[in-house]
Amino acid sequence: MERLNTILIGIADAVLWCRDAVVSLAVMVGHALDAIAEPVLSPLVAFVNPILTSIVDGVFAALAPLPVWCGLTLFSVLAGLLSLGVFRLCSNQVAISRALDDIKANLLALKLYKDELRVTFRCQYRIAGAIARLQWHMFRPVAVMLLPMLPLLGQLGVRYQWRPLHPGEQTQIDMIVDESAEGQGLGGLQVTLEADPAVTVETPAVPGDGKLVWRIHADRTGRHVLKFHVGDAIVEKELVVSDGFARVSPTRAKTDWTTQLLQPVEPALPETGSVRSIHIDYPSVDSWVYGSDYWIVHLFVVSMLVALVFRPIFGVRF
Amino acid sequence: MTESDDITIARRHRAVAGPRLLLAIAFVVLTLPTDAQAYIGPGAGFAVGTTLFAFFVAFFSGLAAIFLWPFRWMVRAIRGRRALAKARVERVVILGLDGMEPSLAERFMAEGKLPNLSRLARQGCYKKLGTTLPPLSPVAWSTFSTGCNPGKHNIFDFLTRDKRSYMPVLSSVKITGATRSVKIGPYRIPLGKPDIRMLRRGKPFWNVLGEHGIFSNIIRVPITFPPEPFRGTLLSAMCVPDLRGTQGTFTFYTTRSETDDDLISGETIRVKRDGPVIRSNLIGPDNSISEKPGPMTCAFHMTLGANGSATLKVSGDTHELTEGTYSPWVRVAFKAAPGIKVRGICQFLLLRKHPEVELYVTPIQIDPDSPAMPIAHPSVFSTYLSKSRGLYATLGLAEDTWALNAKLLGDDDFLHQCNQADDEREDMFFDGLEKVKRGLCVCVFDGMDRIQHMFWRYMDADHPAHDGQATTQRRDAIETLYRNMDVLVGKTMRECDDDSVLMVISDHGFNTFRRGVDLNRWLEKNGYLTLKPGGHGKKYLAGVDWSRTKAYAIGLAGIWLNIKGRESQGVVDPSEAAALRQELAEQLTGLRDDEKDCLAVSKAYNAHATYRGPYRQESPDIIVGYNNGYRISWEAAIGQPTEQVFHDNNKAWSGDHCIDPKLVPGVLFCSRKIKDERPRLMDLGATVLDLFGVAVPPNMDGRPLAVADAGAPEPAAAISESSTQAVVTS
Repeated sequence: MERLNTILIGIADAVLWCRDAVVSLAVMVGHALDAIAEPVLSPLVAFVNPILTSIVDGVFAALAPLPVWCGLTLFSVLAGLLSLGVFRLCSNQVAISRALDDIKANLLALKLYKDELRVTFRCQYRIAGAIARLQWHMFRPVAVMLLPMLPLLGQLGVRYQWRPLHPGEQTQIDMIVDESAEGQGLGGLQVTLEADPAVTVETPAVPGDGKLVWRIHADRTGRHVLKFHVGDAIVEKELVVSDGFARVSPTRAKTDWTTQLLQPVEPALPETGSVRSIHIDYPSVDSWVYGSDYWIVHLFVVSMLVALVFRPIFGVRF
Repeated sequence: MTESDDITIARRHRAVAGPRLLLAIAFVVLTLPTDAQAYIGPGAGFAVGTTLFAFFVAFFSGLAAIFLWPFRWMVRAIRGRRALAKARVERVVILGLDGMEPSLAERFMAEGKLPNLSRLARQGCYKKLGTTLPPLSPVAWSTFSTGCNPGKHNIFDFLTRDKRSYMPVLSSVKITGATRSVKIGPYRIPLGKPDIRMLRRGKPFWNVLGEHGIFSNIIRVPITFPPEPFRGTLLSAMCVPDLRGTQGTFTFYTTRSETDDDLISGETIRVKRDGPVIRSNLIGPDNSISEKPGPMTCAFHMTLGANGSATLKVSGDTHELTEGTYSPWVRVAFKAAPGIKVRGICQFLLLRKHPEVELYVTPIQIDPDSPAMPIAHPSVFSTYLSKSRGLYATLGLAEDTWALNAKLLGDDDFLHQCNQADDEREDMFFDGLEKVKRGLCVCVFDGMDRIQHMFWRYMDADHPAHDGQATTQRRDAIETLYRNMDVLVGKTMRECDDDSVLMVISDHGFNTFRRGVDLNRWLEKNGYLTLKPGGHGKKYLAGVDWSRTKAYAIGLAGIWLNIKGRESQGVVDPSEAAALRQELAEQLTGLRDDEKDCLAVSKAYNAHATYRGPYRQESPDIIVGYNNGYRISWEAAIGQPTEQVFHDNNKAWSGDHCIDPKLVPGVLFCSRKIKDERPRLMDLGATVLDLFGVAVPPNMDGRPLAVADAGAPEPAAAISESSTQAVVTS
């Protein structure tokens, strides 16, 4: 029995090791692709972000009288319909249908010929093959779908993942500086946060772990701009203080197209400056329907339901 | 740390090892797709969802199969039904070739054109197989499946008559709508399912096998609709209706103004051309839930293009049509009410575009993916076949002989239908052979019957419909068919090992059909039937004066007496019926066709003296055994009296088998030696039971044939002289 357990644990460890290896490989490939895509995508994202933000702002302004979840639901519905459109245009429906039919046929065969072990194993083998084919044929539409979905996720994230500071609330601001500046010693770099009537700076910049940390206290509602003096340069960061629903921008960073996609509100920090990123620790949104992380579930479930309902109309299978 | 601590830790370690493994697997499976689901959206979600579902079902059903198999085995053993415990074989495979004619098979074998059948005959045996009275497919295959004479299974013909209205009705199945319904607005929603009742009695031998734990795979054996539950899988065949509830109604769309509207099993719809576009409707079943009577329709429009092409839009899908080429199976949906659709499948054939547009649409058949009526057992079996091999014909008589008879389809168009149906079936058959290695596999191929019916005229120079200008392809169509079936037999033989017994059988043979006999005219001429004034030419016996009619004919098999108390307007006293039967049988036996100086009727059988069993009274009173070249006329079959007894058969339907059963025995090839010299179709069920070591039920008329065990010496001659004697089973 102990020997069996050892074998089972070994198998489990091997599975986990394989998973880690796959993830590591994916990360490596991702970095390599990033390096190639960065020069092209960064300017493109920088161009698209303000336009998209304005459009989404307009939509949310129009939906302002409605409950907060309505905007999320609307965009979830649009995401579902968009996905169907992409599938219709980009997928090999014949091959996908064939793979789905093979899966269903072999699942039915498992039921019909359940007494035949030989048939059971053969069906499992065929199901595995059909699943592999299905995943292969899904790759193209799913890859195409990334293009509209990532900016949309960015836009929804800055509205539903975090909420603005309420007047009277405290939070922390982190500034990460480049390694070159860090190498010179943070103490040598003059960094100050300019006084603003909207906030009270409770602690001065505290250095540590390659970053500077401030604690602030929100005093006045509104969309404010904090100014950081870094040596001779001034770096700005938006701060939102509000009692209601509003988009926020937790992070402003140097050019990196993926960060830019997911933090689309503010322009990237100048490439030549010493500051790599500034992060405001906004509180999470507290709601089971549209709050932090739950909004992704909401988006996913609603868009899937919409896709399911409208699938026959679009004439697609997946 | 003490020793006891070590032991405790080791125990805990063992205790958590199993759950850890499951958790690890679940973690890997569940966590990998989560990011993709969230960041890529619903498409990926469905992909992963499908994958996960399939993975889990496959994984856990595999586990269940492994763990439950010993329990299942034990349960069967305890019940004394351990499958195959007394079996002499692992598997029996029966390949039914509907209508294979022994004389043709022997001729082609002698000419070396059927090498696989010859090899099978050498390896085991070849014999003629006694068929049924009458030798009709529904009768014969019912006898095959039940092992009983028709008096016990109640199938005597395709049709029987309604005793009240004298109208022809299907003999094997009765479909009635749900009896209760609830009215909601303009709709009447039925409470319950329609009642679909099989009229064939008796128990198929695969049901008996199932009771002993033996699995069967039954594909398209006639008269299996609606499917009965048993241990195995079954796809129904002959008598499965189309979506309209008929035995196959094709539709012919044309811009021609002059057309034949009087089609049998077909409908002509005139359409108008709007530039290159033609708009019309497919005709579906009656809308049983709407207050408004009438059939449901499904709109389509066809845009004619260049070079013989056209684009068809129907039920939301677009299909490209090419002149002279069948479309693949097309799914169509008829809307019964909001959210309620009846689904079917059909094929389109653009016959010609110039000078007039002609479009043929096959009968709209039950969609096997979501069947409107039960066509398989278990019900998901039809879906399984559809998912694994694609859509397929579900109609009982899938090959449209009526459209060829009406000359709307050409020979090649018809051949395509037959070959396609056989190809679909071959796929299913070999799938069954792959899945069922222990048990029974039966599959019936109809193409042989249909092609011989329609192409015999090219082989028979004396046939009234013989076309002297026929191409070689058409003249050789039947020979090609036999060769194709021989290839199929060869493939089947390769799938059968020494533990399998392969039988290749036909339910009856075939012969030419040159002249039709109008039995109603003969009865009229001899004073047994009286017509009302102007009664000639009226269908379904509408012109008969029942008050002065003792006997009448409808259907293919024979003659009915108009008996008091049985028929609604009966005049024959039941006490006189036996004598009248005898009198009619004697008068009809030896009936001659003076114009051709030929014997037309070999023997007329007094059915009540021939059959045994509780349903003997339901049979026609006289079964007519025609001579070679004769059969009941087309008119008499539909109860339409004419003014002459004998008619030339000018139709494409030129071969037949509804004659004296002694003249059209079937064939039996077996991979093992069979000692009996006169095997009968009804013996095969009992033989299979015997091979599997299952006792033959006492009510079966068939008796087990003496099949040699594997490795027994080969017979000296493949075709014995004595086997040329045909036997009638009834």
